[in-house]
Amino acid sequence: MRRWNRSWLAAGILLLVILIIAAIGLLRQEVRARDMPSLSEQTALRNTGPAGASLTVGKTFTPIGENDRIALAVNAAGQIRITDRGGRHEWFSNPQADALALEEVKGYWRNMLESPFVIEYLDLKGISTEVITASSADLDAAISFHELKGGVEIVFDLRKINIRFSYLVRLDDDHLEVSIPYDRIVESGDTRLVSLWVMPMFGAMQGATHTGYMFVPDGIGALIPFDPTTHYSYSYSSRSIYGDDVLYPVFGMASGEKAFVGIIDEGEFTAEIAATPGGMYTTFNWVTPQFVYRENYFKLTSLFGNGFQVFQEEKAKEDRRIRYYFLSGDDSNYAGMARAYRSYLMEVKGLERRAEASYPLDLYVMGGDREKALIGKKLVPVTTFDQAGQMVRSLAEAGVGPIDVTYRGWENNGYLQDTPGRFPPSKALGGAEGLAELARQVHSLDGKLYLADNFAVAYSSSNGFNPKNDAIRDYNGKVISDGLGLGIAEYFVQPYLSWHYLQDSFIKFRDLNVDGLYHEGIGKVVLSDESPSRPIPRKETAAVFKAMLADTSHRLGEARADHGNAYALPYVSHIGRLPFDTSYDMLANFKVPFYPIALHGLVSYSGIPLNLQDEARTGFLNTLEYGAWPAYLLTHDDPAALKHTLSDSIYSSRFEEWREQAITQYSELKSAIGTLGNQFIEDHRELGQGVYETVYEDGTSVIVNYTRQSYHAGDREILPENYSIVRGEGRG
Amino acid sequence: MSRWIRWVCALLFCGGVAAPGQAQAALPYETYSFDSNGSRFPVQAAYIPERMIGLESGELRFDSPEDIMIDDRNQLYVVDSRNNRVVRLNENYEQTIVYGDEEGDGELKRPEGVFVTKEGFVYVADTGNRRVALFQADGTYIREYRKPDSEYLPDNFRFEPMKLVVDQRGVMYLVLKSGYQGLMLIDTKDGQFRGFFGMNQASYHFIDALKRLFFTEAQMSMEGDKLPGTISNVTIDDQGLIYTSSVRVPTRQLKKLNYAGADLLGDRVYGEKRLKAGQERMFTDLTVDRSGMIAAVDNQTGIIYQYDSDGEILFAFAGKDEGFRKLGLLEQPKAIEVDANGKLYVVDSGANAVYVFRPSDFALKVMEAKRLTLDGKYRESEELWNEVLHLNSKYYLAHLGIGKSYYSQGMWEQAMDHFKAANAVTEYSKAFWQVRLNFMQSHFTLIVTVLLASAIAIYAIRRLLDRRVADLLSRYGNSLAMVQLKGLFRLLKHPFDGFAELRYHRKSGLLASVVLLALLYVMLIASELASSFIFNPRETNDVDPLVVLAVLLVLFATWVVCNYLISSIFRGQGRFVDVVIGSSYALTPYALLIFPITLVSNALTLGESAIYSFLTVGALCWTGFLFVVCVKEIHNFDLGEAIRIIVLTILFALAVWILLFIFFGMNVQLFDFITQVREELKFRA
Repeated sequence: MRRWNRSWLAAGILLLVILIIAAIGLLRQEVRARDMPSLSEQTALRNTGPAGASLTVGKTFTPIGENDRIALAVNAAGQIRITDRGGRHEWFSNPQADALALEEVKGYWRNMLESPFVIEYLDLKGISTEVITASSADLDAAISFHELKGGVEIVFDLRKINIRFSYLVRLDDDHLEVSIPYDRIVESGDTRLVSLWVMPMFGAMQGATHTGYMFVPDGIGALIPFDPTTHYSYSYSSRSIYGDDVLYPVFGMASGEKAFVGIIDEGEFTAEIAATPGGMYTTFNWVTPQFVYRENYFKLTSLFGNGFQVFQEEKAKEDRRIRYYFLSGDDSNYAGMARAYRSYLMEVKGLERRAEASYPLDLYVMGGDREKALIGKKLVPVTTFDQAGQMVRSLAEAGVGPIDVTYRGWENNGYLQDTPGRFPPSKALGGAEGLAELARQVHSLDGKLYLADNFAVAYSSSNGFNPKNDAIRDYNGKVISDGLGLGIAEYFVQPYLSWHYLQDSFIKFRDLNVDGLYHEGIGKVVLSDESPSRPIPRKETAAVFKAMLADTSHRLGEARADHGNAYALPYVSHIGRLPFDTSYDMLANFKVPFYPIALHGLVSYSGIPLNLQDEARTGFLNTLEYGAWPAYLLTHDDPAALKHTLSDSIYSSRFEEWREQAITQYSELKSAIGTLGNQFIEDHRELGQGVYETVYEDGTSVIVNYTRQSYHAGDREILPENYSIVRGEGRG
Repeated sequence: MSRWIRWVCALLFCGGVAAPGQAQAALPYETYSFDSNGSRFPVQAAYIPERMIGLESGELRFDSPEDIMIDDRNQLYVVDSRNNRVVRLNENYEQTIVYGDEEGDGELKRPEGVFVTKEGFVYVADTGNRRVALFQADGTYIREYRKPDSEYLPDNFRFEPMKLVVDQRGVMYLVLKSGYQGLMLIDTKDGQFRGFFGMNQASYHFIDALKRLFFTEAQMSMEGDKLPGTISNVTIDDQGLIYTSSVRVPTRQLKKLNYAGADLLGDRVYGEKRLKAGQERMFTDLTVDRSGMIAAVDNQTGIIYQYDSDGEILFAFAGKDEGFRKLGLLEQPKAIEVDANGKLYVVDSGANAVYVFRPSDFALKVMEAKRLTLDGKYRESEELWNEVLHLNSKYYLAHLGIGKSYYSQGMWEQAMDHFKAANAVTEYSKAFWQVRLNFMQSHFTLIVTVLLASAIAIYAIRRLLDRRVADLLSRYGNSLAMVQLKGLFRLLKHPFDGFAELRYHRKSGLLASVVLLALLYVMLIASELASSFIFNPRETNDVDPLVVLAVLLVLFATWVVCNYLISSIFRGQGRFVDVVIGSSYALTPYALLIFPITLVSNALTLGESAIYSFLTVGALCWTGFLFVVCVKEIHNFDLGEAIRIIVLTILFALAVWILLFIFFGMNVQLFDFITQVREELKFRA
């Protein structure tokens, strides 16, 4: 009997323990419930309303509407024609008879050339889940037209696969707007939409009859010149916009006297830009946005990485809208495209010209990071707050100023090591008092102090961060984590929680009296969270990031960001480490400074710190050519001390070693382009191989020669690996 | 900054990005080097992809290019294999002459290699025609070399030349398809066979010897021939030294051969230091610049390695193009060549292109400084090395170079610091020898005085202590701790009696054994921390107290349990607790000696390593001896039995561990099976 009692007792205790654990778990969940406002409404889909009355459109182009700049016409195949004022130039959504006469390809690719769209879809009844790519004629499309204010709605009913969608085509002032509302997409059969190429042949041209290029948003900007001789075996794909290499959703094409530039105004978070050179499938060069509705991913079914490729069940809830701007004459080149994008940023995104032409030294200081110690880890300080103050004073005494100081690795335990915690500022570097004192010193020298931080990541599960509940998950529903070494796993914080952490930190940042934050994460990488319970699409993540940037500048005075994706532009005052390079794509390997042309005068920017450039002189000349601020990343001690920390790739940064160069380069740059800070770049062109000219509003011309030979431009001689500046007369 | 790059991996899962290209609108690859421990560390770009030849505009379209050669006038000869021709380009990469495209005797068929002599004669390895074709510079076909008549070559010998060089004497070195005999030498004057050269050694392992011993003839024939690895490519430098790259060899993937066929680079591993599962080193070509620096390309990883003329790694860069289509990533790199300006040309037969990489300032400075160092011009190199350090303060070769310069100037202490930063043990040891010598010389009298004084002091203290100890013993002599301690010392002096007493007189206890184990633990860690740089070269103290503790406890526990069980089977008389206590007591000499030995090692140089190993081995032998005695006395075995039991214990322990591994492995498999079923059901539902 007693033995029975004992067993019951044991069972009871066990049950109790289980209950307590469960209760703690639930309580934790409760604590995790966040009070951040949801932004899903901001990113909600629009209601397009019922389609207008039916229109009849003939086989030839029928005028639909016009304004004082451009006129729109469509034909029964759903093709579009744009004519500019005076009818000097025409742009077509598809190649017309004269161009097609030179084309030998038949069948599938011929259909594609004549189709206003290309669709990728899945056939669920098919044996394999293979993506099928097809165009209008292949799919037995019924095309109908409906009235729309300022334009026309074109309905494509793909009878063969039971998918229907609409283009809402509208003229607006100087541009054409094409939108594909989500609520116009109907899948009524056993097929599923994977992706849609909208007007892929827009402005398509042949290399044999035209010289020109396609523009793709690869890094700083890249061109794919038309090439009549080569048969390329591959095309260009930007991959995800705001992903690896793409900072802005823009594409374009220019040839001779006319050009167009397309800007994805809405729906760019699940889109790519594709460019196909002539000679690959057809003789035409074409560049187009590709809107992805179902992402494919590798469905894991095993612990050892086995699985299979599948597509997302739900299609991306995105309204899509593209704006096409039409350029002719002097505007018909990449500089013209960048100018059009600049006006777009000002009119639509609300960017304004910088108030002042200030030209500071963009000084980054590294505090410290952690390395393994005998027991646990220890901080390796390389610059204390006091030493940073000395550095700034030393530079100021040599005439450098103003200086914007951005402090990395100021946090408790070193660079990002405590995330999602960060306070108090590292005691070993001087603590909160030391940092406040640094702020005071920097301010007394007319400088500003920013703290570098990354609210998008958490290192390991500490400071109340529980990866299971708080970290972003991938398509397989698994928590994304990245082993960084030293036993540290990096997680991506769910966006609303990031925001929450930021909100919580403002008071403490204010106490430190800093001028703002330099966000290293949220201007750079935007991820969707695929947690099964509450998935957050990239669009919504970006909305949260924008709110975070806006909050930062509202509460602390200024928000700065790393990398500078376009969604962040309206909320930041400065971009650090803006890529001045392309992704080295084999096709898009002709680099042009599209992004700097668009941004100069609106937002300031700097590139990779000049002491960490692979090619020092090239880095300096880039700074000149692109009108950037000079950046340096410096430390007081030898950064070799950081070799066994995660900050092991700061090759060289000791202040004593770089002081002289920083002073001379800064003063040289300041006297060269220091007064141009709030001017727009009017023009940019290649004068000869490796020689480029940048022209500002006031007529100032900067010619940079990257080659090892002197270059003569008129009566100006530009020495090898050097530059020449001719001042303008005044604002033009 | 590497953390900034790591962001990219996450995009794989959530950004709709298909492939893990490393780029953030920047160079598509990382550059790194290896420190002397073989671990990778990042450096700035050494080479920057400049352009590609063959894909851009113009007439030039390669189809499976296989080889490249650059002559003294910076003209490029590209073997355009599937187009059955060799194309000469001028320095602006414009096509000037085509070899072997005309019908007739000179027509080429799937050529794979080319070599151009100083006089401008163009030798083409005309692989498809099984011959070598010779052309004049202007493209005129001169003659061919077919399989030479020789009694040494069997009739079924396949003569398919792939790559070749011709030395100044006019001897042709041919790389043959599946030619494991090495390079074939043919005299260009008479076309006669002159033997083989530079053959790789077949690797022959202990396992092979065992097989030969035990396998039947039938089994042996199933094994396949043990063939040496084959030479994949060959090149020649201005001095006439022959360089080869080889595949399927464990070491010496790159060789620098003198006339006698001896390898001057030494027996080491080239390429990646640590391979992943399924990887092997696949060098397809190497090239040598005017100062002897060697660059080699690995086909499997797409990585280009830059070595100095002694085969020391300088840096590694580039990588495999797995559909990224990035300039600088390689798909099927087949050949590499360097021009007079230091630019590298890589032939990619997958991308049908030749890539051009230009060296960065950093790379140029490193190579120039390294050249001066290798020429023995240490002081001239010092300034350059300092510039290298200015660009990268972690580049350890710069410390090595500066250290050598200081050493050559007799600045031993500074040299020591730099050698330590470079983790260069031999050099450090040499500098330390000098420093020690100086110290001894200048402080000789002091040292002698100190030694004498301490001898006297020790003697005096001992006498004093002896009396005190006697006092103490009389007072606390019967306390447990004292009894146990006395047992310990008795055991060290008289092991046989000592262990017997442990067993039968209870002059021991668990407490003492815990203290002993703790002592051993502390000493192990202390000696790791205090060990000399020379005998334990390290940049940081990698010792992890928890790991050491875990290893110590697990090993000890396994030994104790296994020994007890085995002994019990063989009628040993010891109880479990006796084994625990006895074993820990047996560890005493090691625990007591390891730290002093380590301290002594700090005064030794590499030349005196024999002393260090003698002391260490001595301490180990003593401990081992005590273990034997321990087992013998505790279980009351004779000596032979004790040794047998120890051997059995070790085997048993191994078996236990293997079983545990298998058990856990099976469990993981089972768990995975369940997961698979669950995931599959969830997805299909």
